[in-house]
Amino acid sequence: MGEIFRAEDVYVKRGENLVLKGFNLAVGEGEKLLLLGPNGSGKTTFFEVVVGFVKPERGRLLFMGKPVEAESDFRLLRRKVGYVFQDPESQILMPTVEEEIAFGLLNLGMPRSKIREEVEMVLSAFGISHLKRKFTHELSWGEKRLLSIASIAVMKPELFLLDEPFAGLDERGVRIVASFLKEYDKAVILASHTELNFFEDWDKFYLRAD
Amino acid sequence: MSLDPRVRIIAFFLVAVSVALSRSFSAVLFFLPYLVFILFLERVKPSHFKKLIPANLFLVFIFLTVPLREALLIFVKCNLILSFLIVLVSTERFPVLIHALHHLKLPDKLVHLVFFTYRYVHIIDEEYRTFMKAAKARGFHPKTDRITYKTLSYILANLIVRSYEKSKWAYKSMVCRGFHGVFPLYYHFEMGFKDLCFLGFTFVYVGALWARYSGLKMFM
Ligand SMILES: Nc1ncnc2c1ncn2[C@@H]1O[C@H](COP(=O)(O)OP(=O)(O)O)[C@@H](O)[C@H]1O
Ligand SMILES: [Mg+2]
Repeated sequence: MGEIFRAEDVYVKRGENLVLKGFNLAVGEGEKLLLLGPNGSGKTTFFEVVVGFVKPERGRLLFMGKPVEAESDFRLLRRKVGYVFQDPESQILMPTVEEEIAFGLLNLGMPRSKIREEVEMVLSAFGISHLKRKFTHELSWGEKRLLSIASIAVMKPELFLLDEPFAGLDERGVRIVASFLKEYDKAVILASHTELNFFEDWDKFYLRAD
Repeated sequence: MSLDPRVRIIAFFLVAVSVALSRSFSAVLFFLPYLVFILFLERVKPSHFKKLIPANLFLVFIFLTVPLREALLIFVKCNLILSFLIVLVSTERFPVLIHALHHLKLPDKLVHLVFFTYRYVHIIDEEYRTFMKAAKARGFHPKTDRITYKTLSYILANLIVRSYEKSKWAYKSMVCRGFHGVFPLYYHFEMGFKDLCFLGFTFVYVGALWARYSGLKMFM
């Protein structure tokens, strides 16, 4: 099994605080991980480091075996890494649900007829087909959450990062997302501040707050 | 009838510049029939014109400072241009207009500036509402006292910081999903026969007015 991503001895400062101190993590093709830690322990910070929004003080990142350093490396990485933000409201950009989901695929240059199919598929996979034509600012919090996950899932990332995806989601939503992630055939890292009993067989990484 | 957004922008630009440069009442008033024509063509709801009210509150000051004839001319021109903005542009959805600007070969930097201004204003508005709700939920009543001003200035400062943070995330969200400088559009638009007719009509109409007021003399 090939390796998708590796962080080696990563140190990250936010403001004056050292948030990550010598953090190590590796994820292989199709492997599923839980990133666990209390609020403020650096889960979001770690994801931001992966996609290049926050630069580490020290350490090394490797994506598919190659070091990721320059902005151009991160640009390539971001085409293959999907990142669901902790706050769905800051992730949603487009006025309608359908356009929001299509946004990434249009950027990747997929033909429109294919995009239409993919949008339909992901909408039904997340149980939100009835919201297709709705305005995004009119959605409930849970609907926004499902939409933000669906609009990354549709891009079929090699590495799927999800930052507390269950926060504010009802039981049905949790079930939909959990079963989608379990069946997803590529690598997943899911950050959460609580233990999640339905992912018992996933490997766990712990971050400590101090 | 829905016009191609590019046609809307071109028509608006033509008419707005012509109205703005006109120096006589008769020249300006000749644009009224054109406005009425679009009004029927596009079936614009009268409620859209509510947007004129705040602008006119501001225009009142012009009457206090400028000679009456001038003030009246400015008043009519402003309302006419805003009306054209309402019937031609504001009825179209914003991402569609942004995409149209790309197609009209405007510089990318300018188009992005317009998009982020729009996002930013939207975010500030949302945040402001949230802050006011949060303040009111904890017993805040706007009055004309020191506490009110102090609270409002905190809210304002907070608003700037929060909107700045949020707009950074909006940018991150675009970058994360492969944004590379062009706003993609899901619903594609095509210029049809009716669009060409409308554009042709607009050119002839504006051109005729320019000729009637003997070209540049209209502006002097
Ligand atoms: N933009 C920032 N500027 C300064 N400090 C920050 C910033 N973002 C997060 N932090 C700090 O970094 C630490 C880790 O935050 P975060 O990664 O959001 O944790 P988690 O996602 O695990 O809750 C916290 O102590 C937080 O206060
Ligand atoms: Mg977090």
